[in-house]
Amino acid sequence: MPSETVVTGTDEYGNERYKALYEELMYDVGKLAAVEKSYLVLKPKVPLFIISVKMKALPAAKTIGVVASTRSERDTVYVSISDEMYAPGTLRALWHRYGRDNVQQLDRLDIAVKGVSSSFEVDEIEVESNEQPIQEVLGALYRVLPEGIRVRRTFADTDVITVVATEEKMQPEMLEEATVIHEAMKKGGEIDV
Amino acid sequence: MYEVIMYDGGIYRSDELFELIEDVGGVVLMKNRSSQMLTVTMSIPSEDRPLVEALCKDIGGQVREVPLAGTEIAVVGPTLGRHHMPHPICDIAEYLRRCGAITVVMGLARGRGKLTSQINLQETSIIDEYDACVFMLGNFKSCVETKADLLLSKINIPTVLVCGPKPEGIEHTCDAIVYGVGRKASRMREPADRQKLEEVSDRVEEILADKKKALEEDPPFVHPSEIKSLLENYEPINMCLRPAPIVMHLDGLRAKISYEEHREAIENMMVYGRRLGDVCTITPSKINDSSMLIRIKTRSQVEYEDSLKAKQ
Repeated sequence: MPSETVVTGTDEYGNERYKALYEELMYDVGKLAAVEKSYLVLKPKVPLFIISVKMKALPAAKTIGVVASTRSERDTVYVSISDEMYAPGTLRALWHRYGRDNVQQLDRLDIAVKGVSSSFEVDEIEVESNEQPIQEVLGALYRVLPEGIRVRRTFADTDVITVVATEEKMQPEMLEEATVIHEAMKKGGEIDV
Repeated sequence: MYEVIMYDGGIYRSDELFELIEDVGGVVLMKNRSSQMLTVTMSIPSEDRPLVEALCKDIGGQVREVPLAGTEIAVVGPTLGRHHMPHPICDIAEYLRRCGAITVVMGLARGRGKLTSQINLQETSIIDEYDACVFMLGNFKSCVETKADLLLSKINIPTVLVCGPKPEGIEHTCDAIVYGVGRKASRMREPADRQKLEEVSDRVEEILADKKKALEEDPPFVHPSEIKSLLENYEPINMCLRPAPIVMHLDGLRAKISYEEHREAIENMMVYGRRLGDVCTITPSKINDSSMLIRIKTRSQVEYEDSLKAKQ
């Protein structure tokens, strides 16, 4: 199911362009497909910007077994990476665990690890923590928000991430509005602010 | 009548082209060599254009129109950050470059924000050194209107405002407005985007045409290209490794050598039997000491100064 983006705000032109900008930046970081629904509140006159993102699934830690296929031959385990995005992370994790002398990169996506008898051991190595996707989404949201809107608060629990931003003091009513949106996104209901 | 055109082609047999330009009494305004490729912006007499075009074709190059040749344009954004600077600003700067202008991309130190945005005197003085300015703003109408009034009204050179929505009530702050661009996260490569780039270039051409018209009423004492030819033989400029060590403006030049070190030598150069220091105002650039501005005095200004000297 494609991701749904709802934009509300006081500036009609800005709403349309920020929707495109948001989708483009999320696509750039490779997270648009993982988003179920996004809700953007744009009030440039206040200024107040709220972006709330509901992910399709709770981000989980990625292990080598998930991003690559492994097989063992004598005392060597061969790793064949299936998702190129995780190639640097896989190599880094293997170097860290077994040392550079025992890890040989055969070509771009194939790695041989010497001195390991079981592929299960390699499968269990973590290449990306469950926090990494959230950090990437937050990075994209910070890029969407205007540069001068520097006072920011983030709510990130379960599968919903909400960022509220303003230029000067963060007023209680701004945080309240963001909380209402955050809770409504968690429940998956209609948002009325 | 002179015409400005650009040769775009290979380096092969380019010496023949330079010889022909010299033979017809033309001037090379800018020469840019990248590996085996060469672009030459030249000013040649109109009647000799077919001859130059034929040679360019013969040596395997193309001839392009360059309506903005001989100008230096500042493309300014609120900051140098990734929110403001990339894509539209770079694309506009590149497009103007293809039209023959020398472009400089700048960001303000404190241009971001709605309530905290500002432009200081040093920034306006630097922008005022250029022939024209393209100022880029964002997607929200209220922000564009507030910031145009705040930032653009302090700039004293012809300015084109490029923004997203159509602003209202800010016509007095700039000379032309191009709307429908705004903040983007991707290159301007769609047909609609290319059309907008053309529109920006057309508006810049128009405001510079007005400036040229104003200059024609009381033209500079010498044409900037004549001073350029003179300066090219000055060794520090000849040896300067910076790209485009001499940049032409409509009413003068920018020479990219130290003002402190070379002011005296340049002032004492002779043009039409006069010291360059007498027919030009030479000042250091506001950016830093590594370049200087040479503004050519108008004919009436030189005549007036002559009459004052005669009275003494």
